[in-house]
Amino acid sequence: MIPPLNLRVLAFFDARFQSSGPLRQALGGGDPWARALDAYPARRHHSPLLQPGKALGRYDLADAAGAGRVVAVARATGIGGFVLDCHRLEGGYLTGAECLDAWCDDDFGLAFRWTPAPVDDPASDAAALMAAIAGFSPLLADGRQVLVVNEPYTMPDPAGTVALLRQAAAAAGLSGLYLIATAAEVRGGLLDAGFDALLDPSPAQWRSCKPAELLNGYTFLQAEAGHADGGMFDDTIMSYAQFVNSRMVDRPSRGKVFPRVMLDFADWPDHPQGGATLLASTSSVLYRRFLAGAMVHVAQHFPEAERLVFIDSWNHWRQRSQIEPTTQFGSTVLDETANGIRQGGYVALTRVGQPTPGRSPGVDYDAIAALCREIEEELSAFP
Amino acid sequence: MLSSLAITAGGVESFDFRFSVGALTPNDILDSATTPPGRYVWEVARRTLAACPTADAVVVANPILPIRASRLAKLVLAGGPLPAPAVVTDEGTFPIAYILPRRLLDEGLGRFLCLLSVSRSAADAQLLSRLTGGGFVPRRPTTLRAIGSLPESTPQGFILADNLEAWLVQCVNAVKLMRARDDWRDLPFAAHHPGHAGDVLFFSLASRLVPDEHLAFQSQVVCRAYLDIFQDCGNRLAPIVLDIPPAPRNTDVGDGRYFIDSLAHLPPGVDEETFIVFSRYSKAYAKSPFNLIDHARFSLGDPVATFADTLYARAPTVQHHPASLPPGGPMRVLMQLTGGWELKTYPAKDRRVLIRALVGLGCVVSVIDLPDAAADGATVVTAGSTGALKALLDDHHVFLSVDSFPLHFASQILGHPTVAIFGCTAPGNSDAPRRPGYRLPAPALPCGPCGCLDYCPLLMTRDCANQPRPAQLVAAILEVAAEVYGAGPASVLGLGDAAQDNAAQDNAA
Repeated sequence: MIPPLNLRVLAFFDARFQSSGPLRQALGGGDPWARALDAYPARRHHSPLLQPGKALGRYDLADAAGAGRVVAVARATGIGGFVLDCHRLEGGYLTGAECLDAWCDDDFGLAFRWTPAPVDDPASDAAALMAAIAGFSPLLADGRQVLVVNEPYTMPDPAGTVALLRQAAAAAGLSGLYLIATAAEVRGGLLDAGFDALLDPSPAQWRSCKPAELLNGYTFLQAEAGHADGGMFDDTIMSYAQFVNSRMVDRPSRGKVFPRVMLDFADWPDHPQGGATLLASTSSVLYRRFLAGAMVHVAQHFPEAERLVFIDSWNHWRQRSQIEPTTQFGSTVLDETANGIRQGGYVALTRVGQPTPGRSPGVDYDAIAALCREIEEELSAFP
Repeated sequence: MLSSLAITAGGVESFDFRFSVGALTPNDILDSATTPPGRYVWEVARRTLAACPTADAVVVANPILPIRASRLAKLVLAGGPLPAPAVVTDEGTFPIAYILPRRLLDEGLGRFLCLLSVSRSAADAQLLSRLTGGGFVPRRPTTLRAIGSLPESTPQGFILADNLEAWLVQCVNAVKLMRARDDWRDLPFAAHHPGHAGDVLFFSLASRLVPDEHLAFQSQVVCRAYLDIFQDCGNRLAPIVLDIPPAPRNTDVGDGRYFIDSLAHLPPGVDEETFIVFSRYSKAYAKSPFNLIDHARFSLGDPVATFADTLYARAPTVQHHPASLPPGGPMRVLMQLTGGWELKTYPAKDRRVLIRALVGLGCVVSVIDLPDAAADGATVVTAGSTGALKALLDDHHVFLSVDSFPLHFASQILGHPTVAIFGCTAPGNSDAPRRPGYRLPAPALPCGPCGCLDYCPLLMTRDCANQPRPAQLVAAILEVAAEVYGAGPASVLGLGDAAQDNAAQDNAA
């Protein structure tokens, strides 16, 4: 089901689950499923990785039928496209898009995520990137191919890089690029540098709420004395309820930032020595509302051709964020995703025609905010 | 999930319907909280027979059980030829499905299925027997192990607890009535939905929206305390007045218990000539994204089968109706800042900022039933009846209210310029359709609706953090005023002048 209001829900997708093909060869072979799933908790608070469920199993994207099944399940859930990572390799890029492209069309497209890195020849690098993403069923926003730029603050000259990317896109024959930077708010100047929109960073990139205070001073001392598991002090653990609220609170003030929705996140397999980020006490009900609320927000605050919500992720098993069916929970999360998309679509549709809050031409919003702030301060000082 | 089997001469066709979470496709059935499970049996049977015109009978699974059509088929078809009507049970006596002959629906008796107990196969068999001519209705056991004890509430949202008993009582009473009266087919149906204030308003509006051909009810049981609402909201059903206090707001007395107790207090003779259907909450309403008016429409017989049928897709029943105050005076704002339960109350600190900001801008602010507000420059008023509330609204340009009866009355019945505050409840369940002069600064946090009455389960505080900020509400009030009364906010009804005067006085001081 495609949500109404020309709104697309996209999911980050790992295309490395294939037994042959250029991406597998480039990444050194081996069993991609084993690479994703062979990690064992070292701490008591690390939840074990889940296992692929019967519905899709350990699919092989090199097998056309396997890739087709994955896309079919995603479509049935209401997802409108995947976001694939661009893997840099010997002066070029590989995405794995060729496995999925045969199953894509106007209702289900492919977008890409690129992580900048220092290179000798940025122009050639941009050209290589465009060569890698061109030629597939594109996922468009405002009529242009969507490209997510990860970790944009690592770029020494964001404006220069954006110009270079757009130039390369034109040279590659793309109809244009819709560039989305991973950043939490517009104040960083990335929109001024030429990005079209921003996207909420991942929990590891942006700790949007205070870590849960799971341990008190006594347990800290116990851990230090070796009488308790001290791992909790090395990792950042956020309560899921606090996390989703922090991601949605006062969103309009952050500017043109697409929501990134997730049910779970735990990157402990890549932080064996500590420093992992984890969400605790996750809830499928909150996840559904998070997703539905994100859709309503985007429907209300974004132009019609630029309405995107990102789910993190379809199959990032190593971060426990996958929404694919699992052995342990079956298709519960996928069903809840479909429910969230239906609910969000319905609620967004009921708000059609409602004036966007905060946009009445005659109202001086800044003056009202200043007045309220002043009264708040006055009341704090003289309650 | 809601499953069924269409039985034709040539075989069986299975159907899986679902409680809609937003989409309304042919397989989605509106998730209505004010609907007893039997209403779903009727709806599923109706849809199944419509989809399979050659079917002679339909098997409908018990809506309170999560039975897929594939499982239903395995259970039901294993025992040889299917009798119709019949009640299919687990290995004991718990009803897991109903086999209904087509003629039951063709004869217009579908609404009687609302009276099914869904928990006692003997009672349900008796009901089906009466509906199909008084013959023996078999109970057909299956191999499904005994259902056993049921939870208080189900993942699909059904609230069982006291309600199981209420559904049983309505079924038994119906069977008694059918035995006593040969003309039972012509007796009226009454929706037992006696309160509270907002709920009576929703049912009243719903009664006006259900097309004649779908309206299955002729009357509604309503508490005397809410009779003025019933009447002032133009309910087209006949009132059956209940002369006992409404159920308490807390959960001390469940809806099911109240239903059973209240039957003894109905006016004399009502139970001898009316089928009373439990129409309070059978499900948790906040799980459904639909407006409670649509919930009530479904309860009253309207299928509400497509998005175009839902409240928000229809033209508003009321257009905006500005207050008829003389021009030139200051803008007058009326506020209702407390709701049916504590967590709905707009937080004390924020309301002080809100009132002071509006007063500072030159507005005259009146607050209903909140004595503390006087300290910040508001006039405290009271509205003990719909008449008094209407008079107050007539005297104010804009109304600001938390999710409560006054909000719904002002925005959905009178069309008064209104700003709605939702925090711990879902706006989609009870706000008004979009129209000029109505604003909803929607709550954004996924924690809502939390279902808590008196504290935030996340922060363990008495206030809900999902309420809009005072600045948002001030802006929304000015937006509404500008929209309804014409000129830009700076000069709305002299607001600009008053604000300038205030500023001048401040400067002089």
